[in-house]
Amino acid sequence: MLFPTIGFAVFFAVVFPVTWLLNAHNTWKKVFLVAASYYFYAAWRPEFTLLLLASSVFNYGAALLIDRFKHRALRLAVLWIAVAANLGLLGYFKYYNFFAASLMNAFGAIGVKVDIGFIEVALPIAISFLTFHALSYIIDVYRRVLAPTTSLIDIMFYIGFFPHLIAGPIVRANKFLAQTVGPRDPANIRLGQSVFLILGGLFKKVIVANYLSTGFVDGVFRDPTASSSLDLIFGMYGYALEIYCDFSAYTDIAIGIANLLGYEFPQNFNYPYRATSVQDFWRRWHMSLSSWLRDYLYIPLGGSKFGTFATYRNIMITMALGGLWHGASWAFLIWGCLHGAALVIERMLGITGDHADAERGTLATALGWLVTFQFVSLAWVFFRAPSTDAWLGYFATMFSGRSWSTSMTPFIAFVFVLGALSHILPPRWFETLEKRYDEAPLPVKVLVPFVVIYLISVAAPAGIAPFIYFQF
Amino acid sequence: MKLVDPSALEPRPAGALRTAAIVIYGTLVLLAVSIPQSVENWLADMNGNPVEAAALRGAEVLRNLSERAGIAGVYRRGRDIFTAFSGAEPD
Repeated sequence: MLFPTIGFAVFFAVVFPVTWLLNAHNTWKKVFLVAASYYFYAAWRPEFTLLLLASSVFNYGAALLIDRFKHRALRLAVLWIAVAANLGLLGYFKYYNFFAASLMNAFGAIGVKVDIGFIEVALPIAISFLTFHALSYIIDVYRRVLAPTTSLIDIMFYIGFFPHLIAGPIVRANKFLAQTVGPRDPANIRLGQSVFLILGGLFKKVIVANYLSTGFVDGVFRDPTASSSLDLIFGMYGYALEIYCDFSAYTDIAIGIANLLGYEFPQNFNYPYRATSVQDFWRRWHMSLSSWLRDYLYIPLGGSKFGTFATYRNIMITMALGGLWHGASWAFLIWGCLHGAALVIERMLGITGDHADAERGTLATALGWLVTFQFVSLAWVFFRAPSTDAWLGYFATMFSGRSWSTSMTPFIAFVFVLGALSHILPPRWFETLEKRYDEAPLPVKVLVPFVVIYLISVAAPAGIAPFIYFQF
Repeated sequence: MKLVDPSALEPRPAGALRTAAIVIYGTLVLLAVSIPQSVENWLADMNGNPVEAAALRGAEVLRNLSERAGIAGVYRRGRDIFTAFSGAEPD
């Protein structure tokens, strides 16, 4: 079930009133929201709801066990078993074939024939996000940041809550479970913010991401060697806009929907292409993932506490695994390593932290933005290219200067500009719009979303492609 | 879009839930009336159990009413104008 569909609108039209009608009966409300979330998930592959259930039950039990043991070694042993089981599940579905192929290729290169075989199994949608949520819970219980809940429904709700289930944002267990203890206050519904997040998300996904993808980007990435250099440059920037508009659309809509149901999700994007350094980019892009990687991977590895070399090593490991998390391919690993290397270089040059940005002059800030945006856009080519040959061909043709003609239509160029406006328009404009919306009379409050969705529908392509991050 | 810190906001009026409900259902009703063919197409793609069949009949009635009032045609004309402007693939 995709957000920008009639099916989801009908689903939400049922979930919204029932949720609030059950608000005074908190347990029944959670049972209902779990049932609704499992129905939402079952729309893809009903059998994988068993996986969702099994993960919830397993992590619920593991957390109770961790809490029960007083001896640190025992607690740690249970934690490791639980982490291994969660990662094992992810590894089986997502990485087995990749590692099997890589191993067979490596042995083949030295003349040894090894055949460990492949598995034919569908990748459960959202398995990575599911794993992140589960790990956040058991690790926080181990760290005693969070007391384990004795309610299985709470864990099923936390891991399976439909707005974040498929593609985030990654909600921390301690932040979410605190919201499940009692009825939610409807006075906390921020209608203007939720409406604009949902409308903005629909616009970014249905219009910008879809037309950029089907009207231009897919074509140049399908056969880069047949495209002109200029088209490949446009394709690179086009994909940078497409993936931002696609992914941020999903999480914006998720945040807005959760708020309408009374729950708070963390912000996930903050104008990432305004970043003036790669470190700044990761403070703005998929913020819930970058902070998750920092807290559950980088810091446990030692963070920056054990000297310069160890810090660089930890950054590289974190970013390489962050890249590999996106998918089982060398291209994702290279993408992660490139970002890791850029972060290391910035540290070497002292370009780090907020104070560095504040101390820079206008010219240095502009240069920082320019270099960062070019780097991020170039790195996206690895992310999008379907194979090693594809990205090799992409860069070889783009830098060859073979032809400077373009196949981009005026309409796609217009969509490009619309996408860019999402970063160019001052944030205060959106804040003013939200404020005016909140102060507007009720008929205007209804007309605004109606007119915007109507216009989006008029301009929408015939079919809506799934969100890019669904595959992760 | 930047999120506002919830603690920085003034308390909402008690009718926030009622307002949200009116906005959600008002928007959905207006969309169903103005683009009735979308609802009908969506229901037509289903398996056709008794509930869905009844809903489909309701959607057909809604579309006829909307067509007669000239509302549904506005959407089609809008799509035609957009297709002519953009060169995008028609439905």
